[in-house]
Amino acid sequence: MKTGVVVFPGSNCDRDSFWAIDRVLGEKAEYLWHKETDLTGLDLIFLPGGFSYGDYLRTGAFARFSPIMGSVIEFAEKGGLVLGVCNGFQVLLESGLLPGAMIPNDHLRFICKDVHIRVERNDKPFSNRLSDGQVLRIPVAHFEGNYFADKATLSDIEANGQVLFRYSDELGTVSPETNPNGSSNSIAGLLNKRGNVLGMMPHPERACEAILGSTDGFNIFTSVVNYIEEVAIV
Amino acid sequence: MRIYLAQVTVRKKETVADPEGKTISEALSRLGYDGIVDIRSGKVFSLKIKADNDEAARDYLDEISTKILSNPVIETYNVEFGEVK
Repeated sequence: MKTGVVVFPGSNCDRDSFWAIDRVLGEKAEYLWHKETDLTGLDLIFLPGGFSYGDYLRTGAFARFSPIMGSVIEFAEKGGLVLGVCNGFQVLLESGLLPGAMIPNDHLRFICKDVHIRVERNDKPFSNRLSDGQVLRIPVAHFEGNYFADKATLSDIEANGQVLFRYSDELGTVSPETNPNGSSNSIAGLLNKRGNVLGMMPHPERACEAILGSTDGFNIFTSVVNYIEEVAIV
Repeated sequence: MRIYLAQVTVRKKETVADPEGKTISEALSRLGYDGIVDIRSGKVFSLKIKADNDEAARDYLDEISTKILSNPVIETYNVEFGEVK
């Protein structure tokens, strides 16, 4: 599997993302400066966390118009796998690859802590090595992680089974108390209809080594490897 | 070509939570300003643009407001403009 980690001006999780894929997972990865447009030979496009363009105007608002995003949209439309984490999720929303938008956390504080998320389905490229209902402990670090979509869009999302992760407690119970930022329907990870584009606020690349406190993010990446190497070939 | 001065105001839709507006409103109440019923926060952009006529200026401002200055999923915008004589 070969991953392209996109670097926007202001990305700051690009190195962590590269490390998780290239060093921990042991799969090839390369950096893609945002002015690149050639995605030939890549299996996964990773839009990392950070503050692209200083979060000016709205999070992800300018990154969405970076030259590489045209190619990423085309790549996704052909069924290529795209993962956006944190600011990467915000870019996917602004670019229309995922429905809805991100607004500031309901309590207006930056949150940086481990959260629990429940796996809602394990039949997708990003979750085939996870169990249904499994609870993962993965860190979040954001000010604008309050996912919003209007009622009709939320109904669509739920009817299509597009929610991959929901904020929960350590037992997998979802309630307003386990929602760290006010997100609609406690959405922590969202797929497009086809299931090949995932946006998530928690940082799986920061939860791949025991020394970092959790390895719960690792199997999101092994799921992708599994999908690329086995499922996709069939 | 004429020169226009424009002001674009962007704010969250009524159906979208505005934590910033709510916090400002609560802070004002704590300070004793008990006349505040509601506050919605937003952004204002002042622009100077070139356009052939009023209609072209309006189209131009609508386009950039929809495409960049606001996110239509969560925000609405209002445009005011006038020609610089």
